[in-house]
Amino acid sequence: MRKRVKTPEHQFLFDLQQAEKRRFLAVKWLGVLIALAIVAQALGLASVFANLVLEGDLPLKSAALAGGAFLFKAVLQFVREQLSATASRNIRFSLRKRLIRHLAHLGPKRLELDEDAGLSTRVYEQVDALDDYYSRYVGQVFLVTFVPLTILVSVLPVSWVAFFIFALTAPLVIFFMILVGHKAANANRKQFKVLSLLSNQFMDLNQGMAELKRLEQVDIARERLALTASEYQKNTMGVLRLAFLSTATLELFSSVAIAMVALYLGLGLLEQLPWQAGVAPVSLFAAFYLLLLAPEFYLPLRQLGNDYHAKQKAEAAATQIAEILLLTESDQEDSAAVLNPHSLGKQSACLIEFQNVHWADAGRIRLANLSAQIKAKDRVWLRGRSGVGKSSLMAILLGFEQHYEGGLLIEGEPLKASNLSAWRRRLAWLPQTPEWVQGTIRQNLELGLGHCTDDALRNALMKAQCWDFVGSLRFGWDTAISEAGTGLSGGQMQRLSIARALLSQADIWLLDEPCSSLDSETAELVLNTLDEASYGKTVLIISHDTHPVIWANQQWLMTEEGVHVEAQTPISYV
Amino acid sequence: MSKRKPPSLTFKSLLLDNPVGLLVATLIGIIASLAAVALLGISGWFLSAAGLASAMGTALVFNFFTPGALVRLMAILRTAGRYGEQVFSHDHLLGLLRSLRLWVWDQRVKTPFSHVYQQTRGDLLQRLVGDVDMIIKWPLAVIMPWIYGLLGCLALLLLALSIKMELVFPILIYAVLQLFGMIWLANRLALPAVYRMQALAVHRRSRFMSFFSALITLTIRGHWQHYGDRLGMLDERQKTLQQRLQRVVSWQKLVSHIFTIALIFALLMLCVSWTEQGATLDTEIDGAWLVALILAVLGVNELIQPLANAVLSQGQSQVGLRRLNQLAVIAASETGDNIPVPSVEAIELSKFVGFYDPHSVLRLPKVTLQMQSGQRLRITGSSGAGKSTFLAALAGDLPYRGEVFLNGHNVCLTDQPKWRSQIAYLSQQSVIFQQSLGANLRLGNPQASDAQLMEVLNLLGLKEWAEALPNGLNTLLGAQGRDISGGQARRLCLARSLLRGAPIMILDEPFDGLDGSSIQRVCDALEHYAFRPKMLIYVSHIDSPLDRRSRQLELL
Repeated sequence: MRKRVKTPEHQFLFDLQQAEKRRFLAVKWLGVLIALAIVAQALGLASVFANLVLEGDLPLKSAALAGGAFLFKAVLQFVREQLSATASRNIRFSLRKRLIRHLAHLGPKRLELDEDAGLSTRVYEQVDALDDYYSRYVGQVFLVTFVPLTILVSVLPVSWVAFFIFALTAPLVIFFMILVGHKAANANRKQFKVLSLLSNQFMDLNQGMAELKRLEQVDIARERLALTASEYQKNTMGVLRLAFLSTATLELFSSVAIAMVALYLGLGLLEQLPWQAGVAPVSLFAAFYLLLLAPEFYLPLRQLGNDYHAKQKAEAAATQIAEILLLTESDQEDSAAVLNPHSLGKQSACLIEFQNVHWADAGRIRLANLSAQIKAKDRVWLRGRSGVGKSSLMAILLGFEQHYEGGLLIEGEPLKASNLSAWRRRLAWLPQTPEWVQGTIRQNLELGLGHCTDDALRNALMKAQCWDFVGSLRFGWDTAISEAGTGLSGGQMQRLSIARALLSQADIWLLDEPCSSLDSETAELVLNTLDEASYGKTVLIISHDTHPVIWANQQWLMTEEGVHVEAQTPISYV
Repeated sequence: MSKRKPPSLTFKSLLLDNPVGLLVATLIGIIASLAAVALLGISGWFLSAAGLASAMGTALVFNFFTPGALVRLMAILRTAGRYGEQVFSHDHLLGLLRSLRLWVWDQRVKTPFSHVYQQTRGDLLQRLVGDVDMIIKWPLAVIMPWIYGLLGCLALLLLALSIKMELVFPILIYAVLQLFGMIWLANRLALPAVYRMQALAVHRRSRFMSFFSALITLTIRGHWQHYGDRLGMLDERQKTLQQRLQRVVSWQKLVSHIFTIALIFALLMLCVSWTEQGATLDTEIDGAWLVALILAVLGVNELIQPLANAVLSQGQSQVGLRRLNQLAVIAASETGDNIPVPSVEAIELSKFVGFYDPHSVLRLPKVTLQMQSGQRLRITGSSGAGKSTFLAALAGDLPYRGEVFLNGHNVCLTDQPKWRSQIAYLSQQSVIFQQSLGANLRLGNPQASDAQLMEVLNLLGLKEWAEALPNGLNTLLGAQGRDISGGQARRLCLARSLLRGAPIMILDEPFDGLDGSSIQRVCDALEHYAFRPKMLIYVSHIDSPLDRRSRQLELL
């Protein structure tokens, strides 16, 4: 197996397997013992049977050998199962840990891959889809070569004919398995896509249930669901028919081979073989021995046929998982090297300085040359068409992206991994849709801060003008809100996140279109609240022209060419 | 298509979903399983008998054609049967998947509006993906192996009867132990862990969703590690439980093997008597048949192995069913009685106040008003005065207090399909589906032609945009309208409402995001031709030409 050129998925699975090398090695050795036990059991049983039939007595030694081998094999299988299951568990759970860590480091970039719900499926279901591969397939691959070989060798001294029947059918079995298996693998991949499409469609329609009801289109949506589900059924059946066909071929070969062996032995015993009539080529003992070994010879092959599906499943899952790990988090060291020698000395005046910051990712320009400065307590309104790089700028400031060229200086120091966490602690972040976790309002306000005093909380809520509506809720700030923030309007949710920013004592506020999902009237009110709440802080706010930020003292217009900085006379009510 | 589902899912309803399909699959499976056992048994008997005949010199008269043919027949039956069983049972399984998904959908449709969004996304996803997948495997993983095991044991009994009466008893004990005792014991040992594992999985996923939906905030405060660790802790607990379950399954397999060897031992002991030379076979027993029986026992042993996993599947499907049933809604209690007149000519509200939360009713203004056909009403009021809540309740999305009279009849509007068919309601949220632009618009009117769609898009100033799209009306719009701006989404929703051509229009901020000329065009359309409703109720903070002939109502 190892000689062949490996596909990336294969390599990925193999690398993971290396972590549990010793357990898999032990599994291998147990396989050797199992193969020996199979032969011993066949020897013992054959002797018992031959004696029972011909002599009418029970040879105790042989019976003990057969029984002992049977039990020994059962215990070996038990241990082997435990070992491979443990190995699989260790691999999967440490992989999952790695994935979560990696996703967390990726920050907003993770959404390039999938939404959080989709990512959660990858982290949980897809990782668990590797289970069968490690707990069954990997061990089986060894058995599938070793057990038949052992049996072939132990058949050889007893009967040439049986040896040839086995030796000739085995390659055929493998050939057909690969032939059908390849087709099935392709079809399987397609099926995986359809399945995720199906889930997405369901979630999408489900999200818009209210709208569908309003439009009286619930039944049509149901039909759509039914149709895609039926299509899925059809597609999947196509895949499975192929997969089962490969198992059926295996079954057929093993069945026919067993029947051939039985027939040959039976006729041989009766001295009726056409080519050697009158001669019994085997004794009854040998005949039983061969008959008992026949199914065991094909059993690992047949099981591998079943587990082949496990391999395909694992490979499809590996593609999706590797995709996450391949999406590199920005190199922490890399950009820090792009130092700017001339900056030191005049830094005290400005808090943030962009020096020809330019960011291209996979050939696409995410952010064109940006040179600008923000002084402490500046309030900057950043405008520009969508897709021009405003959000990319935020990602850079938040420290999630460091693959850019040029320099970003914080109080004269380039931003790098070593001072990143100190820098981040100074930030407050208000995105378009506020970040909420399941829990009470209070838990959400204290998110990542630890316990805050009631006074501080009340203060923040009052300043963000949340006090009235929070007070009118049944449980005040102990009211639970879900991720979607049931029961609170968009404006209220946005105000709560202002309160959260106030509570954190951050002195630099980054706001990414905080008003774009609000209607104009509410947006204006929220902007007014922001004016008051963010007074005295350094603010960078992205806002559409429809929601002008009149209290900003700088206006940045971002275009494909760069940023045009303009001073603005702030109109503030504070 | 629209088979009526029982209000709650049970294992019985799963079996009865497509009984013929399941029966066919099971029958074919039975044939395959018995053929596999018989293949071993007959081959063994054939060999023994042949050997015996040869030894006794009667080989020439031995009929070897029948057993030979039987052996080949069994081999083919086993193969074809396995294949057929797999194909049919999986077809049945996927059919179940389809009907279960639709069942979940129906439950969601029946759920009253105010409850629809109470369940969080992560939780729902878990239910759908995890539970449904678990449940559909139930017939295949639990019922069918058990039936095969049962029939295998029956076959053993018959074979044993033909050899010696006493042999029946150990086989009976064996069957009871394997098919009932072991399963009962494994259930005791494993089920609690299965339940806990499933509960943990849901918990873990909603934690995951929570964690990542607040990732940036947690990261900039330097606390994601802590939250990430808590997620890891849940995972560790999951790991321990998995280990425990796996151990139970492995033990069950081991013990089942031990039972089998004990059975063979018992059978042999019943057939031999002890003499000074050792153990000799009782004379009335045919050695060839005894060999066949022992080989058949080994065959049944293989047949019974999958039962070890059945307990796990049983537990998982049980939890899955229970949780899916939590989604079940007892058929809507209030029946749609009223709306006696097909066309609404007059609306009268008396002390009408809509609410999300009964607690907040006191703060909100009560509305009393009358409207006749041909009138327009503009609702104004400060932010938070309850304008949107009022409209949502009027459109039947939210519950309300007070009374509503249509054409003088007292009616209930909430979740009332007949009322819905009379109105077009543009809500505060813009919902765009992952479908083509055309399909999104046609949700307003499935019969609308392309020309009609373009006309509406033109009206809202979206024509150029739509024409510039790569596939025009067939362009797929992203998840929740991700690829289009908020303003565009808003206008598409308005277009949908206009296309409905309903006699009563309820619009929540229809002009948001529109420029002056578009506002003018929308107003023209609403006033003059094409889209003019009989009654129009709207909330807008933007003054428009519509206001000239509208009554105003200010909520305080």
